[in-house]
Amino acid sequence: MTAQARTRHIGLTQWATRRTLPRAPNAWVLLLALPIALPVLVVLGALTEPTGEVWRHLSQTLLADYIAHSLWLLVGVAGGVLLLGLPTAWLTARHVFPGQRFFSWALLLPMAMPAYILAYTYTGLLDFAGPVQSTLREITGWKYGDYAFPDVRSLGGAILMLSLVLYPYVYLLARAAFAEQSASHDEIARLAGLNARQRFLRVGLPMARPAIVAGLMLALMETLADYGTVQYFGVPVFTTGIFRTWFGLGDLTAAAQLSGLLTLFVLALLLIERRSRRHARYHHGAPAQAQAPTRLRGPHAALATTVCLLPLLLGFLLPTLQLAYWAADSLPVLMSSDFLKLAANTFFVAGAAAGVILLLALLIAFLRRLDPRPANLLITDLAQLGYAVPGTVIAVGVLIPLGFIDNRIDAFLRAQFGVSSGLLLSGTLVALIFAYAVRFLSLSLSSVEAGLSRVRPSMLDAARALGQRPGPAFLRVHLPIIRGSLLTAALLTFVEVLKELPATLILRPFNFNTLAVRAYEMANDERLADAALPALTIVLIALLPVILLSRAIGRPRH
Amino acid sequence: MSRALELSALRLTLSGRLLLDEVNLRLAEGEIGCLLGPSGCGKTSLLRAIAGFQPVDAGKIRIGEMTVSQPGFSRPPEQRHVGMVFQDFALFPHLNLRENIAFGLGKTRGEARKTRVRELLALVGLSGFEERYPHQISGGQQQRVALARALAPRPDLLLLDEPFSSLDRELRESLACEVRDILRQQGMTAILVTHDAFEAFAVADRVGIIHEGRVRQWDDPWTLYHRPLHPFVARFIGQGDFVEGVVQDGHRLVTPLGIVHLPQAREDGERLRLFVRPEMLRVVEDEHTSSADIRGEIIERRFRGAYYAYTLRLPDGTRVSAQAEALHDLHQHKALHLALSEAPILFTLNDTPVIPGPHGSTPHE
Repeated sequence: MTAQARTRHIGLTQWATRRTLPRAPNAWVLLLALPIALPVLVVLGALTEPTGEVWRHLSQTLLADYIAHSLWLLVGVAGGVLLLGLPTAWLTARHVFPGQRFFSWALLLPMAMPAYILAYTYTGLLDFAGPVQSTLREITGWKYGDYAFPDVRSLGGAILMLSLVLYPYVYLLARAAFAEQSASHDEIARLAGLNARQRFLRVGLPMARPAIVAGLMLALMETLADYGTVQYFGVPVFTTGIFRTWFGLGDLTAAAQLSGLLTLFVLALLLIERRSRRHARYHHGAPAQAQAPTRLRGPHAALATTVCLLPLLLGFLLPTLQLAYWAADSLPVLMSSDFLKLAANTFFVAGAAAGVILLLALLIAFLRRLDPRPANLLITDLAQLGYAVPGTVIAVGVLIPLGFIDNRIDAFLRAQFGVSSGLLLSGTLVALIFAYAVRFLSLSLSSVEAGLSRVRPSMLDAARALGQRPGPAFLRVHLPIIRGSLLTAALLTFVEVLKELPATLILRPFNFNTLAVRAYEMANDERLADAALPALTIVLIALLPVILLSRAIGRPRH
Repeated sequence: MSRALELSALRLTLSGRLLLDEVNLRLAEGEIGCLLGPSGCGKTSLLRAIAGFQPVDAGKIRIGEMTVSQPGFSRPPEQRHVGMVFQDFALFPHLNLRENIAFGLGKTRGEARKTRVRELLALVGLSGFEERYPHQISGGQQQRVALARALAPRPDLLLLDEPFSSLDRELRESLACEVRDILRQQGMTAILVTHDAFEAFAVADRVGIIHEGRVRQWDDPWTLYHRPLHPFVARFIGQGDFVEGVVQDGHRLVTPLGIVHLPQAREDGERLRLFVRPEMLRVVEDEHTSSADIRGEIIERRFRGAYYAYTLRLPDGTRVSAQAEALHDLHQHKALHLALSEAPILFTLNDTPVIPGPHGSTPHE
């Protein structure tokens, strides 16, 4: 048997064994993964509840607005990320031009920039008192009202901001697909007499389509998840609607129903993404002869460099410089114990969440490997849905069950002992870390599972045949092999928690601030310069995983 | 020689499905055994049961004087003192060759540890490769490291699971002989699992053929080839065809290939199956001088270098394979004349062997 046939064989026996395994899930899975799956199920369940007064009000007035704006936002961002992501991917994957190697990884940098921070920065750059309009007035001698300047705080502005930070998803997946396309396909097209443009449109692009669609769907899921940008720009979409329904109208059920509706949108995108990814795998079945890149010269090369420089400049370099300028300005004031406390708070909660989530991911990964009965896989899959679901929705989904538990405990204590416990879980770090676990378990788990997949089952058997008991065998064999993946998992989660805004905003304990929340508050108080230091800190830390990712890209193709 | 491994009346199931039943076999110390069978026949499960990775449902496994497996009891693998070479080698990717080989050396420290690693690297011809990592060496070299690692703690028994299957064809045979020589030199008792009969013959003293959950025969390669105890054994090892015949006058079997003399009397009119290997059919050049005039029409002819391989159709429609030396220029012939050589392999219609003379051994169930 070849190695490949062997895996197929193992797959078959596993399937055969699965049929005879117990149907009920493992108790550990119920204990660890079911709570994580719960919030998403709760908001979906809210859709089946009878609608109240507020919902009727919403559906008559605002709901259509939310849906329309959300759709426009999706359409706009889809166009934007394709426009920015596709040409850059095609150019860097298949051509040589000045800066090509640099752009290959640098084009990922905007991933480190949360959209809301970009929104604050561009508002500061482009508003009436900002450097751009000031310079314009200085040059032309215009006064206020003499000229029309597009308002960045609009739907169009939101589309631009989101496109600038989300195009790397399309770039990343499309670039990998373009790079993996085999030379023979291009050669066949060449023999058929197609020119470079035709080869891109009729061979390169269609073959990369599944990967492009997958990247696009990821970008669109992030678009639906965004709260900071649309809130700041005053665009009425689902996430802002959920906030308003809850805090403005005080109706948690209607907020949950809106969340459920949004989740349906997201799940549809997720479904498309999964299907596309399967196709992408199918296409890359055979190892291919990598294609020799085309060398661009003269005006073509200059154009290519410009096309690649633009998104990098607008999505990362310019805003980072602006942030650094502001931050340096307000540094003495802000570099106070206040800021240090804020940073300590943030690192503590992000570190704790990353640790808890890593432990959870490790346990669930082992359960999935050692006990792959269908019920276990189903529940642990459900527990990973949170990654696609907006933080706002998760916050709603977390608060409903926790509030229920709190009320029960409170009622019990009052009935039995005449004391009130108040809210035990809802307003605490427990709720916050729970929400982070719901949102980011999948991130951590996929990294852990990628690591574990490199430990073949036979390696554990070999260790045992060589006299190791299972526990020590894990320490001597698994741990050293997956150590890197565990670090990656922890780092990714840490950074995502650090960047997370809406769930933190809703669930944080009273008076508990993180860098993201502070940046949000300052920006909403029109103190953009004061928002810069926390924002810049987030961006710089968020660079870490991007660098990790870009190192993988920078490596030469095998 | 003392007994190193004994399986008695063993039954294995995998999640409710019966894999193997009534397995009885023995290996003396220093012997190399082989379990041979098609993919999915349960041979790897049997090996894993011996190693202690799989429980047994009935019967017993003894290693040396110790019972290591019986229903409800299984000594953990790490306490069996058994070495194992895995199909995918399972070398630890984070350890270099020295550390891989030393992995099972346990409390052996210092100079003794270094010496043992050096000895083994020398044994498998990889001296000087101590600091390399598994991904830096070839497949054949990885296979040798896996062997060295398994031998390092001086196990009582070595188990090899399809050890050559992931290697190139050419490498496979030379490495199989090399592994056999190393095992012999170390006096190692070993049991190997494979689906390749040539591999089994190259390495093993005793071979067990597994078919439909049973070990059909546990014998040395010569006996398996010449005295198969089950039609599956006959067909699985080497080539051949079944031809049916009818008993006449007690001692004669009338077949489309002529008359075969039976070693013992059978009832007249009984139908028996004759197994014919290509080399048992002699091509008779001059049809007129031959008394046994069996004519086979040539359906297909393949040039094999030293000989031609023919597929022939006998007058009654039965197809058989035959060989003729390529020196004969028979290519213009439309038919060949055949004679059947002695030592026929016979089975009844319900697969019981008709034992030819005193050479046959009794089946181990």
